[in-house]
Amino acid sequence: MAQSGGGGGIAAKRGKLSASGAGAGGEDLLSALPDDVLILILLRLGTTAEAARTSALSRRWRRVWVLLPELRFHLFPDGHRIRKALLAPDAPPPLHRISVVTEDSAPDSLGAWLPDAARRFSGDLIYHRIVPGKEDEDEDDEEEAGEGGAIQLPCFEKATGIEINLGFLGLNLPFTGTFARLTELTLHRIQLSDSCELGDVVSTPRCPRLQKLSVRHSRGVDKLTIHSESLLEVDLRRLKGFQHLSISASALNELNLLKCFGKNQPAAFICAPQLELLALRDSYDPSSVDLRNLGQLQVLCTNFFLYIGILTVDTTVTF
Amino acid sequence: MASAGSGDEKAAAAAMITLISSDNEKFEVTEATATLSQTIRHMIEDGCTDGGVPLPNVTSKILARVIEYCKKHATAAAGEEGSSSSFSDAAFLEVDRAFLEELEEFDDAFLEVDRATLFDLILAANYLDIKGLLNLTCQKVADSVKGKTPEQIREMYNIVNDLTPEEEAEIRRETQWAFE
Repeated sequence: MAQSGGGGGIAAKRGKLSASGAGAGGEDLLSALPDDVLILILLRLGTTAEAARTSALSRRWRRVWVLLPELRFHLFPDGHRIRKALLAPDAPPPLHRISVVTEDSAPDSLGAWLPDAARRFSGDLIYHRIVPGKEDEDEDDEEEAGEGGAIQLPCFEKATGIEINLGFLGLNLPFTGTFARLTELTLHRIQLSDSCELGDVVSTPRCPRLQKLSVRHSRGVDKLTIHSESLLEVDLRRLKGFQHLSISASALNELNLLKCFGKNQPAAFICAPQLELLALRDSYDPSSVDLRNLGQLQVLCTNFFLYIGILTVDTTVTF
Repeated sequence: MASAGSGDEKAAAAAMITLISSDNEKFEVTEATATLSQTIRHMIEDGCTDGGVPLPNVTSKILARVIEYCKKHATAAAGEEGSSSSFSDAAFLEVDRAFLEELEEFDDAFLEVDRATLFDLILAANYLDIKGLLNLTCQKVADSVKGKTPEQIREMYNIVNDLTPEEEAEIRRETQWAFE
């Protein structure tokens, strides 16, 4: 970090590092701490809003919160205000983590801060929209899917992790751009718009480092075609209306499919020579499952059977 | 036998480090204790600890407290390492839990100091780069500030408001989102 005061290096930064030596109880010991220590203290206040309020203490404090490497907004009323926080003056440093938990339900306000975050951001993004009373994992929600429009996800070129739970609001994925550093993507309770091709976004050309993909409790993912050289783990659960899965992933180690296919007559094509664990927990007739050539497969779990051994057959799984 | 014994003694002696406070007091500590400080760890790695490590920014009063903290936490760390190889998993977890509880009690008692000492400990922890101690002391300050208005914080920590009314208005505008 490039603030005055410096880190834990050897050099004495403020002459004599003694507060007690200064005597009188009237001394402002707090403001005398170096910036990086004040940042540690502000990070422990819980929310970014509380940290930002310290800017009103004195001149010394005015720009301290701006140096925070991590922003947290818990049940913050709306996204426009988060945007204002991101637009803090004086060319703020890159952010390593943003975590937002909100009950906001207006898409324009919800997504208002995302483009600014994408510009300043190189780390983990955690974004949860809570729908009060509807947080039960196993609940088969039929409510408000897609109601009230969709949020546009900008391309977070420098993000390493993205975790989004929209409480079933719509999500539009960016049509262009590369998530060059992304290693982990979790989409939870989202409604993908029809025109979005999730497979295109998570495949190697646009997500060259993606290792872990998890899509759960979501809608609008009816077809998923992934070509990836980096993916190690794919976890798909409760995808409503899911019909076709095609994965060609040379490094894939683990594939979980839970309640994705339902009553559809789905088709799945999996080419994963490094696959070690395949878990299919779905309501299909296991006798119709045709497994071929999954290379290193060691564990196969279904609702009805557990095979352990190395299967060396072909590359298709048909249902 | 004799040579092996002297070898051990040599190793034990080599593992002791002398820390010298700003008021020239010497503290003999084990390397395990001293290396909780990343600053000192790097000095040891660079081989510049012969003749003692002068710490011109830390008084003997504060250094004694810092060493007390490091000793406790170094012992706990060593205890955990030892227990993992000699106990069953359940016993290990039990021992682990006991260690953590004891450490927590120690930390709570350790923080029972006046404010000037607390800030000296923060400065020393920052200078010596002792992560656990820095986190512990910063958390104490954060807890004291949490939920307070700027006015209350100013009063508590004797912060002089040197902002002009114009500056104050500007700050309120910039961070209005945080006050609503």
